[in-house]
Amino acid sequence: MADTKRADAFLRQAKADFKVAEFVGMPEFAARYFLQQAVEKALKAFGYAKFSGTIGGDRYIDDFFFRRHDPLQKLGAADLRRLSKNANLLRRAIILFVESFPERTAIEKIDATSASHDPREVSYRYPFEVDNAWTTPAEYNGWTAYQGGLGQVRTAVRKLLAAVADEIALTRWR
Amino acid sequence: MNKQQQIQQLVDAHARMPDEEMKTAVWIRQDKTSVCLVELLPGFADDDRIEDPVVMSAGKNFRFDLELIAGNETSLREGIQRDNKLAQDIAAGEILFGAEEGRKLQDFAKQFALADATRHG
Repeated sequence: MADTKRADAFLRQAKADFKVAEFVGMPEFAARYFLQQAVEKALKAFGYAKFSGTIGGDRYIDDFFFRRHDPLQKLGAADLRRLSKNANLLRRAIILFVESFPERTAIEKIDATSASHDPREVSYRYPFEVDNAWTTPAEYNGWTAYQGGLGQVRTAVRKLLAAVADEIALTRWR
Repeated sequence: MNKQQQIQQLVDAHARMPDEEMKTAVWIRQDKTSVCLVELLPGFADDDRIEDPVVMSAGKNFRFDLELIAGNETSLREGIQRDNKLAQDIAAGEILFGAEEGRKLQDFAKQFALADATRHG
């Protein structure tokens, strides 16, 4: 049996994060941070809904998926030979699921913008370098070019949450 | 889309996966409500319990529960030798992708399906 209770809990938190991102007056970096949180938890909810058995106990799935801020990127970039069979098949299921969205690029970008300390990477949380100068997430004005317009990103995340809710409902119904 | 078409679409999607070569896919146990696929994936690590399928729930894009017996050639061949039912089912399965590799796998499986039938026959 898939772990639909845990999937539901992850999805509820994803929806709560999504609501925060919609607060009027929310600075753009913060809105995008909460959208990333929503994506991360929605993908994890999908993982729990999709797999039967106890995927939580698979250390490869824990290391490359459940304990990551950027589960899609981390699992997608993993060397297949370093993963367990379950992790490889979860990887494939997640990639195919995200591929089915017209907004897949936005979802991939949101996922890939993780809480990185690497100054070369755009971050929602820590200062980083652009054109050899330090900037902060609050000051950064390249979000649209980097990730897509905020409205477009919100739409992508809204569709993702709806699709994950459908997947959980189908799993529960069966 | 009927069941066969959905399965073919899924197998085609698996075959297109980036960074994941698939040599063959064989649909076995076709009388089951769920769908059971055997997939030869050379990039996967060795697996000494390959005959235990990984089960994934039905979803919007694929409406059947999916049982996957997937792994590299060495693991699959060892699994076939260990599990006579798997050998029989692969031998009788329908190849949906990679005809040549599928036939090789079925020929190998037939040896063990037959060996067991002779022993118990």
